[in-house]
Amino acid sequence: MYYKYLVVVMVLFLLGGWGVVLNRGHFIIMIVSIELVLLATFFFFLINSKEIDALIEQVFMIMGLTIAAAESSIGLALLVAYYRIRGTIVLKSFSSLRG
Amino acid sequence: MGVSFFFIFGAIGSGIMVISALNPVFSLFWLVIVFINSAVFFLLLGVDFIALMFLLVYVGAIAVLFLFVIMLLNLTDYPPAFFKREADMTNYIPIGFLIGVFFFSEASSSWFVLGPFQKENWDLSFPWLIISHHNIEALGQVLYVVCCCLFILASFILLVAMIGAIFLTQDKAPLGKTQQLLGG
Repeated sequence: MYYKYLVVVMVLFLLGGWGVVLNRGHFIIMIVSIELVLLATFFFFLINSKEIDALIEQVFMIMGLTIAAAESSIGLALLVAYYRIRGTIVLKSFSSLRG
Repeated sequence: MGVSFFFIFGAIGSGIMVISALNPVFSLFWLVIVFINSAVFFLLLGVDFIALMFLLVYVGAIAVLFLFVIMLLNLTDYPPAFFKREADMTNYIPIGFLIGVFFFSEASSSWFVLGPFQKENWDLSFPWLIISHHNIEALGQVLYVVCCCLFILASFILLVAMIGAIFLTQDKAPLGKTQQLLGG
């Protein structure tokens, strides 16, 4: 009975992907759009967990929350390191991080 | 039904504002509103512990982290690509068409099976059918007993993220203190 909310999952997922495509070159809004995609997947897991009465998807969602926190902190640390070296965050010169 | 639709449309409209805001600070505030709306929807869905943890982690930690980085780096002068005149989006039409067909077929297949609108009634204290405990109780029993190895692994992932963030952003310290001799 909750399956009609999968449309919300779809719309949030497409909004996240659309934000990545439309805001190319702006690193912060790209990471924020990836957070939207993660939110859509969490919606998906919780709706399915409610629907089939399985708790393992909520456990998986907690693991995903951990990964999301770690990912955003590492990404923002990389951004700060890059800004300290280059003085800008334009994505076209990101290949200079290869060393 | 009306309450859940209110929060769902709030989440979707705020999501549109996230990807179309000019200033990244405003984009981040709209992201906070998306997370609050979806947390209330999770509460209506009956997963109250996860809803509150969602508010705690995302609004309390990740959004503040993003805001801090934006304030630190002064990134507010980059307009989005679709506001520039020279932005050419026609390269994305075929893959966008394929992805749109895929997702629309997903949604329409669910509608064909179940019908788009059904009557339902929310129950804020929904008992689990398999494990008839409260949400946080059942989740704790699964997370601490069955998935304890996953729990320890998640703690190690957080440790690695913390060490990595500290290592990436620290300054290169000098090797030691050197003495400056007078008159030498």
